[in-house]
Amino acid sequence: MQKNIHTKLIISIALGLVTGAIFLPSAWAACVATCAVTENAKMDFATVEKPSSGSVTYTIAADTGTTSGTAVVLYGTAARGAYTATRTGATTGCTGTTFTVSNANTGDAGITLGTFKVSYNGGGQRASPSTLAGTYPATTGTVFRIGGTATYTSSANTGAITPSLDVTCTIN
Amino acid sequence: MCFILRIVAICASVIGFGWASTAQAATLSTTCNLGVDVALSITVNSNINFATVKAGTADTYTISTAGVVSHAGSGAELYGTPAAGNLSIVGSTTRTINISVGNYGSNNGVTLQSATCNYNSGGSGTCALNGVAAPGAGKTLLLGVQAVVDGTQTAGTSAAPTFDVTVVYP
Repeated sequence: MQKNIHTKLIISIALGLVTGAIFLPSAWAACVATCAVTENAKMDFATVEKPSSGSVTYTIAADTGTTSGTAVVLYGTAARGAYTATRTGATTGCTGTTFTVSNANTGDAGITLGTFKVSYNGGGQRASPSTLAGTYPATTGTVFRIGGTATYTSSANTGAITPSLDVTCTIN
Repeated sequence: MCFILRIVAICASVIGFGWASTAQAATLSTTCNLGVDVALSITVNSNINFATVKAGTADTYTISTAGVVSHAGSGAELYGTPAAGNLSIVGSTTRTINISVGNYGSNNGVTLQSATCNYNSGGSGTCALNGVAAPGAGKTLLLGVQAVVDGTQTAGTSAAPTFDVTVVYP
């Protein structure tokens, strides 16, 4: 009976220490840095001509702000969006940062937004979600810009709209 | 004693779980700007018509946006029914427009200059109209102009000089 108790004790200690050994290293290397996003300038697709049939596209590059596509701009000035990511906390145990543009909703079935791109700190544009290994926003803030593609069909309503979207910074 | 050691061992594993690494995300819900509108178009309902004036006599004729012809010198309006230019502009229902003229041309010794415009019954004036009413399904632009005749025209001939009217969204 006493031998049995000792066996259970040894097994419990062993399990506890092994489990702790497995998880404690990650405990010591836990990523505690956080990221905040503020808006400097909204992305702007100007105003384009409503297509008489089919669809047209209008793309804004995140890294250069240049535009392309088949849509005809009637007025306004297209511009990429500009945001500042600000980190809080040390990056020990972190692996990098991911920038995501998502959940776009135009509220108009004839207009869609997508193919979002991100340009971090003046770098080339990358598709969203864009993960930069070993890269973290400065604690004083680092600017990143976003671009994307708007697609308009002949069923689009005329007028100005302000589609909603989410811009996310994740420190991994 | 054995019981105490067992508790410690289990706690060690629980603490290990509690400190696992997690991603730290922040999301900003925002908006962007986007617009769709109608392209501008101009339809000529009627061209400017000075009717028939005296041949072989240099003069400067003016037709108003109301279609009334006058002259400054020894020429004369002889017959026919003069008419101001009449254009229809179609476009946005919300966006204002700019109207301008230029590229005055000559034909058969007649040179055009100094066009006047009356857009949407707003009154006659120079054709440098900025930020005027959105045309929507159609608004009228009446045109007048001056025609400088050099006096070389023979009887029975005609002249068809042109100029451009430009409409843009500012």
